[in-house]
Amino acid sequence: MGLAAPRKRTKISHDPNNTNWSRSTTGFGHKILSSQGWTPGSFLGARNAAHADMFTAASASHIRVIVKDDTLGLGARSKRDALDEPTGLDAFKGLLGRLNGKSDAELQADQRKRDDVKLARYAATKWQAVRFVSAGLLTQEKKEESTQKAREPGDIESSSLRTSEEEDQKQSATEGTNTETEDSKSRERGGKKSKKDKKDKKDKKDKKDRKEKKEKKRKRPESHCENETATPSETERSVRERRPLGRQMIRGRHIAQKKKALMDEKSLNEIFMIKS
Amino acid sequence: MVDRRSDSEDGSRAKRQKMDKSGTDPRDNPYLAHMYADTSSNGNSSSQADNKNSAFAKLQRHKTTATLAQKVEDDDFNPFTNRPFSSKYFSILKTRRDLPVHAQRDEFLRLYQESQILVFVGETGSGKTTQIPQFVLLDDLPQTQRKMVACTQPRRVAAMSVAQRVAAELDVTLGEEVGYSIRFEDMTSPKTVLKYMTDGMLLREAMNDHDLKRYSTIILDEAHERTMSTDVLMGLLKEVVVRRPDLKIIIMSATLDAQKFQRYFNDAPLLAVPGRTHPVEIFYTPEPEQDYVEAAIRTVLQIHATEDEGDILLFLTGEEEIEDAARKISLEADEMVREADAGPLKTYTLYGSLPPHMQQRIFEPAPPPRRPGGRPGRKVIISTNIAETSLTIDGIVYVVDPGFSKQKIYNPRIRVESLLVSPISKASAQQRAGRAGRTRPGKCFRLYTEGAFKKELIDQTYPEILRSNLSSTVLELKKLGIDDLVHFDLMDPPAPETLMRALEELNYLACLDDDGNLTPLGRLASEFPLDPALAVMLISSPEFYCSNEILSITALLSVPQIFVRPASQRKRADEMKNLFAHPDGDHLTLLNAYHAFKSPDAQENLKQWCHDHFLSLRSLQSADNVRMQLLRIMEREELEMISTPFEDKKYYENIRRALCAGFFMQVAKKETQGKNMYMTIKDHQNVLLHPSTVLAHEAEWVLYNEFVLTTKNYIRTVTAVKPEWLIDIAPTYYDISTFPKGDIRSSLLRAAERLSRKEKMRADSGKRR
Repeated sequence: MGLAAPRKRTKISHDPNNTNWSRSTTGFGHKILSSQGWTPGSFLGARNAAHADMFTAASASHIRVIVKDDTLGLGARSKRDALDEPTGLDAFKGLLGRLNGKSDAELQADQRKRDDVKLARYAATKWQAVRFVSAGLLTQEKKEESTQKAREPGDIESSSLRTSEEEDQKQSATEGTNTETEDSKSRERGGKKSKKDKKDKKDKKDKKDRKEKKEKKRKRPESHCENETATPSETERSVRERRPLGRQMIRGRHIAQKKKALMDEKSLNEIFMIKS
Repeated sequence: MVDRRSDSEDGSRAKRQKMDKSGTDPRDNPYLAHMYADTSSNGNSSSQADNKNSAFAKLQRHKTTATLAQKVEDDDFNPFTNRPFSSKYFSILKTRRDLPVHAQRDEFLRLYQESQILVFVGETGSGKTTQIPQFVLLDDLPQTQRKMVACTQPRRVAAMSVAQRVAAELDVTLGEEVGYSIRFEDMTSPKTVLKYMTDGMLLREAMNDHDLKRYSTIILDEAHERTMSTDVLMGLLKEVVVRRPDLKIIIMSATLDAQKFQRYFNDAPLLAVPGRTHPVEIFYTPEPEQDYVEAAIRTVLQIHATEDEGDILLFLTGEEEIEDAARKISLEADEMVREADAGPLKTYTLYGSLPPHMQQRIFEPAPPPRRPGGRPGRKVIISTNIAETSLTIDGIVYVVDPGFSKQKIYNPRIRVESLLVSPISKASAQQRAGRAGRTRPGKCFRLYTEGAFKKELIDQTYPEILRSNLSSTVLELKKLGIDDLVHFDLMDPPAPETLMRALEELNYLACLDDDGNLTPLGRLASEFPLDPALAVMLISSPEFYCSNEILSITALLSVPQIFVRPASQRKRADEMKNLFAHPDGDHLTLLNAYHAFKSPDAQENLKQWCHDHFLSLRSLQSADNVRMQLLRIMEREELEMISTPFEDKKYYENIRRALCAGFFMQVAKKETQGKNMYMTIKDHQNVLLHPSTVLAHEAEWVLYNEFVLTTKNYIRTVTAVKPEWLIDIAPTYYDISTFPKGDIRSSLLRAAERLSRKEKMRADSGKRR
């Protein structure tokens, strides 16, 4: 944890679990239970209970809960923790691998994978992950929008790249910062969807601008039904995270306008007028 | 905001009027007609049963079929009252016949007649709570046996409202043939054949009537909730059915994991009635959410903006979080309406401490569109997990589930019981999702990943008995005549350590003797619906000449916090609290506030007065109510109500001493270094004084009401005490030889010395005289 982190000072008790009490066998409770035929380590309840195999661990000892005093979502880990993973063990892993008779090439590949994960995690924690929705493979289209979407990996990325990503995914499944989960999922599911998905995407992108989004929203319900993956928080998330793309889209529109202007004299004038 | 408040006032006024009306109707008054319902139970109903046998004559006990029963129901005359059925009865009858359980009435009757114990599974909305007891009534014919049918509910409100509904369905007056019995309110008569009651109430009856002889059939409803009382009752009934072959038991559960019930009841037959449900589509987030509250708010707003008509149910963990989210959602929704012509969105909150009439508001229909042809309105209900199983709210189409709820946890090692936010179980998550499909196909948005659902959530929620301090339960069990606690057949036996702790506490409180038998004090303490420590404190308070005051403090400790501290006016609220502050601690401060509340000055305009002094009127009124009920028990048990004169300088000291009599096991001593640092006695936990305390000086020894578990451990509601008192009042607990060497021991030794010196002086002066 960095120096800038808020310092939390808590004094831990000498015996926070009060093992002193739990180990003692002289207490009143222990005495009474033993006198009624209980032996340490056994469960309470009827002898040979028919439902005994349905008892849970909570019948053996009290339920333990981690005190939660934040609003971190279920399964999430605080951002800072992601970098706190012990990575120094990697070299050791290689050594163990060699001892286990793995070939150098294999080991190198393993090491490479680990490094990739590290890099991905670093990038993901440093800058917020940008997420994309796949729109299937590239097909020739009339619309010019596709030029703009060339940035997205789902369309043109080579297959090898994709597999390596998926491997990464398996490795870092628990991380929760993985960029591509959603991406690959939707890829699997709707590989050949093209137009409709794109429409969705457009809608989603538009949403990031708070003021703009409202008109588009009317379209959303239907698109929602079509695209299973579009859970609200996901789209909301993209609203938060894809802000740079907003600028890009405005620029894209600007370029398109310019292009048009070259063909149309009137609009050419318009632009010049504005400029001057 | 403004019109919301005026709304609620209207609601409360209307409700109160209604309650007044029913309260003043002398016919409904249950108290006068039957003072001794237990002994004369159904005494005169047999004659009535004879002359109204006209319709019942066609029925033979435990041999009826659905067709026969329906014939009786379709008759012109009400067999219970011998009066003709009203037209309303027939219209209700029609809707009753549409309920899912009705389709399986024959099957139910057959299984019921064949077996002593039956497990019945029906999802909420199947009609089981209202219909099954009526099915039983027409087959069991309890009036012919001078017995009753009992149906237990975990919640008081449910017992009352269901009884009311069923009375209407049977076309009888509530409190006569159909009644209810909840703590402090008995709405039954000698004519009563069907009685809805809380599970705790049936347990209380069992204490005095171990075989439950008044009942021919006992129905445990909502058994899936696994409340403490239901669990104990199930264990008890398992023993009772052996002694009473004529008693029939029906266990009703709303969840489908009923095998456990079946196995527990020696493979009892099971009947499942499907609820009327529609498919629910589940959505997960692709990634864990960093902030579940924020994500929940965003999700609700997005549903409102993009999804079809239908109400939203959002689960959050606690009152504060819920109110906060409700405020944010309404603000954002208002903006959405202004900026983008969204439909109106109305937020309702729902949590346990909300008064019943406010809880009722969630049933109001969604707001209409702002203009004809406009976007439909929507309501969003933000609730704790009470909306998970118990309440049926129609019209919910979208459920937002962050995956957390506040759950009670007990750690017997450090003796801390607290409510903590923790992940729900898979079963809970499924229940929550099911809420979306009640009226039409719905959607459930889970704010966690599918992986988290599979990995982080446990299968079943732990029943209450595994999560609580057992001292009052052990006292109850002892009173029920169960001595072998180790082998008492519970569905989920608690951890041995938890039981040990409970026995130990009861022994220190002198409720159990050294052989584990109930003492007279323990017997008396079990009469009070209180934690044993509080009960013992109350019982011993006359010895300290302050039973009136201790009674008030006990009542104040058993209701939600009376001091209000709104985020926007913290400073002002603290100033007001200081008006009541007593330098020696929070218990006395509570008492001062209560006395001020009872002063004529305040009684003039309670609402305004409480508002001005940042006190919760609701909490104070319920404390007043609890006090009155406890007073009744104290009078019944002939405990003296006395006070030390206020002018006496020992007035407050006596109260503090009396507090020690109950709370000597919740004491902490100041550490030699560190401000506000304390160490609990015997359990040796480092604790801090809660910032809310008014304790003016650094007291060496304090007793506390509550251990608050957060990242730091706090003790809340503290009062300064003296070690001499503790040694004097609880000599076995403060047996100095049992304390390890250290600060606490030496301090106790010094106190013991002072005590003996004083004693000696007293003896000396006595001799001289």
